[in-house]
Amino acid sequence: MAAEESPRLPDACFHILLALASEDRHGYGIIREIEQRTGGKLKLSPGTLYRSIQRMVEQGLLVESEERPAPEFDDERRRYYRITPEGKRAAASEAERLASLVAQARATGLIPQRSQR
Amino acid sequence: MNLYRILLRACPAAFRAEYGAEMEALFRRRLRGSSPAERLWLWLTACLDVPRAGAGAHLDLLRQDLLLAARSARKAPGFTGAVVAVAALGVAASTAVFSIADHVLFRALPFPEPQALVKLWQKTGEYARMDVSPANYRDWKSAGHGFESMAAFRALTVNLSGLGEPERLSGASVNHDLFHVLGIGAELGRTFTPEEDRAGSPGTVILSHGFWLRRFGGDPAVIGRPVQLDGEPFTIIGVMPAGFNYPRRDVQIWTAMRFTEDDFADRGNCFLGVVARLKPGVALEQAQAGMSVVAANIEKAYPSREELRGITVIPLRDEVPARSRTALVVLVAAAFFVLLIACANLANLLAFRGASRRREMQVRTALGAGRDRLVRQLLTESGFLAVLGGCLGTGLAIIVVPLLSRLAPAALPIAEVPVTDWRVLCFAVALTLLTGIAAGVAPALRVGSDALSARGGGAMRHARLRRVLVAVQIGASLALVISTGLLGRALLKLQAQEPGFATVKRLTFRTSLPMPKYLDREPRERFYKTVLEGIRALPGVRSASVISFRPMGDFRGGIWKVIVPGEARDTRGSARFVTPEYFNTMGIPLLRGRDFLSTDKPETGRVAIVSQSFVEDHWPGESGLGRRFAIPFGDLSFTIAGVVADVRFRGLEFRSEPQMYFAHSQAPDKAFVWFAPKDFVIAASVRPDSLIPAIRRIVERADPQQPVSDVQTLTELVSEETAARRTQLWVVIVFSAAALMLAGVGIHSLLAFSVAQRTQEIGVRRALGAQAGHIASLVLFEALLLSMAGAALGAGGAYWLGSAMEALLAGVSASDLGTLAASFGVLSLMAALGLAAPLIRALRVDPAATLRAE
Repeated sequence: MAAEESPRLPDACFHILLALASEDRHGYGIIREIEQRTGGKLKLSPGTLYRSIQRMVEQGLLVESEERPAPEFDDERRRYYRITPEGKRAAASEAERLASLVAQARATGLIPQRSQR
Repeated sequence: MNLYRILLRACPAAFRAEYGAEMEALFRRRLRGSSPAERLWLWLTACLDVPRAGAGAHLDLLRQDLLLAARSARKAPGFTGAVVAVAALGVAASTAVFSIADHVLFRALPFPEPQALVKLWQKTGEYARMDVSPANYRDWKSAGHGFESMAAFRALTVNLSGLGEPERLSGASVNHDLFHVLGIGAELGRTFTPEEDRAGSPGTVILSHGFWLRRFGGDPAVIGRPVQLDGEPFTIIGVMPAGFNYPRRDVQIWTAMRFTEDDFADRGNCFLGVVARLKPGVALEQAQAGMSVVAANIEKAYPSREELRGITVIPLRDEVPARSRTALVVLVAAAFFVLLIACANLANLLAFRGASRRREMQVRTALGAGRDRLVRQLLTESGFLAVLGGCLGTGLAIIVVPLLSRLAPAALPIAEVPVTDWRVLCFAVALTLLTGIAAGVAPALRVGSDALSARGGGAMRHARLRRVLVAVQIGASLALVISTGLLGRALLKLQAQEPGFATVKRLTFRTSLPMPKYLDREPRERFYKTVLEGIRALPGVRSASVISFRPMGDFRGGIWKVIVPGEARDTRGSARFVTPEYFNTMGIPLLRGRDFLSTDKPETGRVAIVSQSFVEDHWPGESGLGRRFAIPFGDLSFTIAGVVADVRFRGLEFRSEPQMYFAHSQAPDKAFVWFAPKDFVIAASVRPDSLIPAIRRIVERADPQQPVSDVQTLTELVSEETAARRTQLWVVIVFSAAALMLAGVGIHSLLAFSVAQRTQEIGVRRALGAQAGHIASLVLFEALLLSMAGAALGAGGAYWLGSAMEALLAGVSASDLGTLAASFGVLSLMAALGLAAPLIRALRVDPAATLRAE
């Protein structure tokens, strides 16, 4: 799927992909990661989280992970999710889309130019 | 946490199984360690969050299932076409009939707070709904406490002139209160003021929207324009909005009704319609009780007029004639049967297909699809097809509804053609979904359970379900065919009913003579003489005459009390004034005595000609000639000079009162103005409509201001009597034809399937020496069983329908043997047609081929 053609990723999905970019996580882990990342601004509800997960699994952006992290942190009942290459591509293309938007905003002087440090 | 699990029920089962436990654990974790306020907030958000997630998951599934449905619909265009057509038929029939029935029977009348509007009638002896006399109306209005306002009106026909071609208009003469009672104001200009109700104020007229558009092109400058009504000057003061049709659909103008003291003199002088608006909070029963007190007071004041005491109060909505109501209810029932058959047929088609897709379902089950998932998919599929059919059917209904407008009686203040609005569309949508579910649910559940069960048992159950469905179709179509037969018989019976007058080559037209120009007898006589002499001189005219009102025309009242010396009974007869040659022209046999003569003058002693039933009523066994009777108006008494045969002036299916005819040449001046002859009748030896141009010229020569209206042959007149019935019959015929076809297809497909399944068995039997007759009996037995089960169902349904429409059957018995026999014959024919192909296929099974395959 070419980057231009990929449909806009919903915000929740983008955040979930970002949360999974570094490691596999279970549902609660994803929510906590997003919360930390956004400084507590975004708290996904269980419904939004699992609806997004369901759709992303169907679209092939995520898979349920077979591997378990370190056993001392593991909880048998929980499912872990892993980002797929497809998911990485989708997240990257969304990030690029956002970056290009920000660049346009800067070019129009709406927000200050990034300092050239 | 139980509540959270209940919330999770909003999600599809698969989603719940996959993520439910996780969501619950997550939620529990959030609750842990939060303050009571936070907990409350978390619960509130969960109440939104979980159902929203569920709805999203449901939508995803729906999208998938719809894609699947669309794909499998494309793959089997024949099947899809059949299902869509059947669904469209069911939805179209029901929606069209609903639309018209809702319009006539249920929909709120087009007035503000219509439920508070009531109609008041005088109850007189056997007549529960009689027009009201001005004197009674005045008492009711001043004494009736339960009403916010009350108004009276009467029908009005006037000649419009001063605008080019003169024209006869029908309208209403009304109190200024009428518009207030109904709660509708003028669209343009104003309605009447109380001053305009008083005798002597200048004439003012309000136009209907339709008439304003037609005659004035919707010109707003029409307000203030002068027009001539019956030769008197009137000023146009207002135009009513479109859709305001009170008291009748065909009303074109309204003028202010002015009472004179003479109008109040006689309580028996009944010609008013009375409509009122209940005070807020006053129930109909309270109003009726209040009016009973008023009636009792009137009784005390006028003990001699016992017939004028009762008062009937009914909701304005219930003014629908009983016959129209029954006709519509029967159509609704018939449409319901068509829908039932369509659903059964659809279910059959879907079950048939379900059987052929059993393998697909088994594979999907093996791949892990749950039973509810399969059921859901199949329901979506049937729903999808039903929606396609529903759209088509609704479109079809919108097209055919105007053809049914004859079923909406003109005597109601509603539009002729119902509008297709959200109500009708909601009905169609609900019907479509219902059809989809009704047709889809049984096969879907079967398939769901089949897929899990072993191979054999499911097929047996399938066959049983399909047999039941086919039996239902046969039954419902039989019920429809019988009802059609009964209605057809009733129509034939009515059409064979002698109206009492000849219709062939007879023409009638109306010249409503304007008052006061023609208030006296002399100018009227001159007008009639000129016109009749002109018409009689036309080549091709055999005779001509003129009467107050043609029989079966727009006015069928004029029922007067009859006073016979020495008789205490309260008897009545219909009164008409005629000129000589009326009976001869109408082909009404003169049984005894003589016709009116030009020598019958006021000074020669008043004579009357009465109908045979009048004589039998008062002087049974006598000739009646020379007998005398009187009427309660103007102390007039008459000697019977002739006796004629009875005429069904009230219509083919109504009982008509005995008739009294009076000589117009003996009518007193300035009296019986309403009964002044206006309907000319002509017996011709040529095609009657070829005479019309000449007639118009003759009338114009006699009085250039005088319009000619209501030109009609008597054949048309009588045929209009049965027009609504014919429309209804057509609808039922179309319904039963469709039903028969569907049931035939149902029988065919069931037997074809069962023969296909039994090919092996049949082949083996043939190989073992079974005769063709034996094989045929296998198929015939099944068909016979189905037909008998269906016929039993149908006979029950037909009996129910028949008794519901007894009022429409014009005396034809609901268990009319001829009709039943013919209906069973038609049904057998249909069954035979459905049976033929499978039977032939069964007989052609080649035993050798079967054995080889084995």
